[in-house]
Amino acid sequence: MTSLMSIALFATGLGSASADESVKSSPGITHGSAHVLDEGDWELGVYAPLRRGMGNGLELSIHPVTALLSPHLVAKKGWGERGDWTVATQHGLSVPTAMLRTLARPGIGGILPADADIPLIVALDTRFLASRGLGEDSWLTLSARVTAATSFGEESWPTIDTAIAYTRTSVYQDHLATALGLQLDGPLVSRLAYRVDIDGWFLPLSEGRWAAETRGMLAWRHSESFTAQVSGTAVVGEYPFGTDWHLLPGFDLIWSF
Amino acid sequence: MSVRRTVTTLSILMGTGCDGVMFRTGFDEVEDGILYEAEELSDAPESVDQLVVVNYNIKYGGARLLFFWECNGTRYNMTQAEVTGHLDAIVDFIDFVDPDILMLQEVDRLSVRSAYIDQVQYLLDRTDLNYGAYASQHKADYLPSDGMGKMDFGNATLSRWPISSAERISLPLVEQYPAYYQYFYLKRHILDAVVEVPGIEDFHVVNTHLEAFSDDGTKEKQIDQFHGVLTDLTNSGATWIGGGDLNSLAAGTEQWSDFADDCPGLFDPDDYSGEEDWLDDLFGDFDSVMSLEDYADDNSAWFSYTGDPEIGWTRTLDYLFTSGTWVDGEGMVIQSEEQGGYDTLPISDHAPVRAVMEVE
Repeated sequence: MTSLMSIALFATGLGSASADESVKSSPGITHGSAHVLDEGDWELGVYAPLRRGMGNGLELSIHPVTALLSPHLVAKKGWGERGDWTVATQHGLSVPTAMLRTLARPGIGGILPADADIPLIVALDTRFLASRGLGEDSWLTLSARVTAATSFGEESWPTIDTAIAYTRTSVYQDHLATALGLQLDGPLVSRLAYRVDIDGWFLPLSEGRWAAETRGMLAWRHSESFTAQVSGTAVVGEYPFGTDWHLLPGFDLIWSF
Repeated sequence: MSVRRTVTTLSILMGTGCDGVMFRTGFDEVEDGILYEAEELSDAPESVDQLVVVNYNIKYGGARLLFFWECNGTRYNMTQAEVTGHLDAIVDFIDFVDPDILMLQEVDRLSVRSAYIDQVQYLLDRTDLNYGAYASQHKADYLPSDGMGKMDFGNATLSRWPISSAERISLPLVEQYPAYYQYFYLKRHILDAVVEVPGIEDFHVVNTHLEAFSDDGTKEKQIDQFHGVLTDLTNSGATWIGGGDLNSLAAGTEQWSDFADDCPGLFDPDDYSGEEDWLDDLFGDFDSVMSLEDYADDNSAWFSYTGDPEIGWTRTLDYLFTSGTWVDGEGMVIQSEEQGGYDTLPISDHAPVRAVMEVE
């Protein structure tokens, strides 16, 4: 079970569609947007990373659990307004070697075979984010993402050929992953909000070259300091064995303080 | 189920998607098999007097590599070159025997461990067999254990002549396992393929691979269901060949446990004690290639499995039955140059069973 959970945490640690960045009063309301936390604000989720607004448009985030085995740090920098758009860039550095080696083990939880030879890997993730309002409390965010990775030493291990994980880990062997995204956030009724997040991946150097991920989420803004989320993600993509699709349920609990 | 086990199972389901959608490991009670056709068809006889039938568990093209689940095994995934090399050895064997009907167990279709090679299609495209039917016994989008990843392996029936339909009939699951383990574990089945053999009105090939590891009587239930399917076909007037890897020993066996090729490892050493009469109804009601008298005279001539090629074949797990008539003297387990005319020890951990059926 631990390792199954690790997959989800692993994906979030790599900056998947679960991390949250809040701009307004409720945690998790503007995930993936160009907004950053105000100075001194904190957020933490079950899956979403620990984030802190540092001031001067800077926000730092880290996932406390995965950081133990996959050291990483993500910095988001807001660059202010450009016409109707709020603009930011996000830069993440990770070293997933120990995590991958932990997942390569015999028995239940062996996501990778125990004889996998995993080298030292360093990955750099860069995103451009632009958000604009669409009426009261609704936001549109466009994003572009490039992840580059390099490795040092001999390697022999299979790619993790399943939804979400493949797009975020094949880069460790194939060196380059790119994605374009579109996200809509807004209120529904009462304390209920929605999010629709569509990402198109292009993996130019991988056997599976593309994937499309569409995530629909409902968030219950219980208070200014707590939000509960449920979501469903549809993934269609190419893998080394061919094209496949998946539907993945998800949930998160996010606190701000 | 204990509280801890329940919590564990629920946690897995919540954390990873309580779906059947994410891992897709399940099957219907009865569902269609997957039908195949060779890329280029070979000429098939328009009439036949006899059918050459072979049953063979091919260990997913793993030959004699020792995998993590075997005694002293260390290997996990094969390279593409290893898989194609092993499959080519099976192709050579098929060319040697030249069967009309080939019943296979442990065939990989889309598994990372065998480099995602569709072994049914690979064999069809390189032999004179033209058509295939496949049903999975272990399918998962991702198996989070031992790095097995994507998995799809099962039974396949190959034929010179078209297969008009195929059904996958589910067998009972091992009840002693906790829910999460059962969810990911093998799901045994019977593959019933209808083959358009010239001169036979309604001809079924019934292919199965029964449970190897259970202490809760699951295997006996599976044997009974296999017997039931064959009985129903007989009563319907169909002609059939039935068999496979039954993971069971027949009456007259001299050794039921403590096999020389076993060692404690991932699985307990095989012990068939207490199962002495489980195959009796199959032998009593149907015509077996291996008669119990011949078997009692010389167990070793019918041995069809060994986990250690250095020790040689140690027990009989693979069987063929029919509602028709076997040609006397043609049935055998092809073990070696001396026993069957072909050395099959390097090809798989099982030896193929060959038989010839009269077409009346």
